[in-house]
Amino acid sequence: MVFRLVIFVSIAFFHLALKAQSFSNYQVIGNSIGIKSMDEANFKSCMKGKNNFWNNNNQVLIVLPSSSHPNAESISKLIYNKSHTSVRKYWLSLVFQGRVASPKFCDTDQEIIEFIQEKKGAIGIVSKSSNIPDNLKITIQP
Amino acid sequence: MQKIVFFLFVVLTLNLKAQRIRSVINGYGHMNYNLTSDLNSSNDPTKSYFELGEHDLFVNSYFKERISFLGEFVVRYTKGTPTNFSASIERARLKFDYYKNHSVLLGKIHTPINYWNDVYHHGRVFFPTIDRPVSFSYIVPLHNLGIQFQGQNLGKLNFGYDIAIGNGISASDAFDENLTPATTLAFHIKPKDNLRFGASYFYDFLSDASITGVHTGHTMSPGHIHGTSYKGALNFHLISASAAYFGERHEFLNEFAYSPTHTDTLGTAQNFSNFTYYGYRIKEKHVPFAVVDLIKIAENDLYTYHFDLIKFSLGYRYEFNELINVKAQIGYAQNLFGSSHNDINNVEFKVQFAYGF
Repeated sequence: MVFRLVIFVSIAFFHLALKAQSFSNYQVIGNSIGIKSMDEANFKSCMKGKNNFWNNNNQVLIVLPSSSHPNAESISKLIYNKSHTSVRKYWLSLVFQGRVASPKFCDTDQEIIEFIQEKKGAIGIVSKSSNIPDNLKITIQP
Repeated sequence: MQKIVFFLFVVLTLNLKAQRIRSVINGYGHMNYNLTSDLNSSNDPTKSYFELGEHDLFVNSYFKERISFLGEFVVRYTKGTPTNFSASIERARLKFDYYKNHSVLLGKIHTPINYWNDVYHHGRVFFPTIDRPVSFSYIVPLHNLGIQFQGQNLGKLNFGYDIAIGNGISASDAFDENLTPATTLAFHIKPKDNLRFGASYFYDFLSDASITGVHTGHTMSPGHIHGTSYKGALNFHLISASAAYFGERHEFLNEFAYSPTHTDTLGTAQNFSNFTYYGYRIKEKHVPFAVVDLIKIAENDLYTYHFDLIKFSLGYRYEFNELINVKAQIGYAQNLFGSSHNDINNVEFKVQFAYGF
């Protein structure tokens, strides 16, 4: 009985941990990227620097939480399945190779939203609880 | 007329001011401690010394959405110069993204051969080990000055290609002494995150094989007597293949190169090298690793000259964060097949601090 309870609690904990890393807590936002929805795989691929330009010819400009951002670790896990340090190393290496434009790192959700509002082609992710203008919202399909 | 010129000047100046150039400037450097011993030598076989390594200023600027500049300027210890240091332009290239993930590059680049030369360049903080593969000192054409066509992350396999034509291994950054340009054809695929397979072919014609140029780490065999180098024409080929996986736990890299060189005097020399690295991340910051690195230069080679070596290393890397790490490595090197020109029987212990800022 005790063993079953331990198993049940472990599964529940695991499920909650997975949920905490799902897109349900976050909102993807973008400015003039030519689409209003994309699937999860495409979004992750885009955030890994695999596209230089959107279909509307705007340059892809990736916006990420900096190490001071409270959700830096969880967003790094969610998109890259890496620690935030590994994500910064990943980008440092890609920029050093000259293959991609450097992403913009922001300290807060508000800073991410303001930056994306200003830059056409910019894309990022913020907490759903943030004050997000409707015209920036991008729907992510699982 | 003068008014029109003045008006155009004002408009252009205002236009340039309105466009903010987005630049990223980074620096990279390293310092080493070396303890080496030549087991064949009876006179002072052991040496212990600190070494100030390369220091690298890296600049990446976007003039417009599709036009960027990348520069890498290195200062390094160079024996024989007035200050014992010299500066060099390691990369300086303009890039134009002409269509989606396709680009054309113009300038001095790192030749897109194999994984190491294409990915790590001079940033020791990115190196998984302390030393580059041995082949870098002998047969890998490190740089190219010319034009390059590049594509990346194409299709489901993330296919990438590089076609480069330019001044070859015997050229300088301002002159090439023959009509034939060096040609590089390279492709890679990244079927999943952190995994990359690549292959490449490089060809250059040297009208005088004794001219080393500035686009290679070309060091001749330790046993070769300088001043007696072959001055005739030489055809240089390099065929290479690499497999790299740098995951959250396991890290693996294998680079193979086969380099036949042909002269009318001694025919075709069959040279090859292979570098294998494996690392295992114990915790997020701790990576013990092992390396086997070998090279064989044939007896009839008139570019590097007869030489062979196999080197075993065991090391440990501690990453404080993405911008600084320390590596310690012990290594043993010996002849692979028993070269008649030089006997290698060395042990070494090295520590390296590598950093970026």
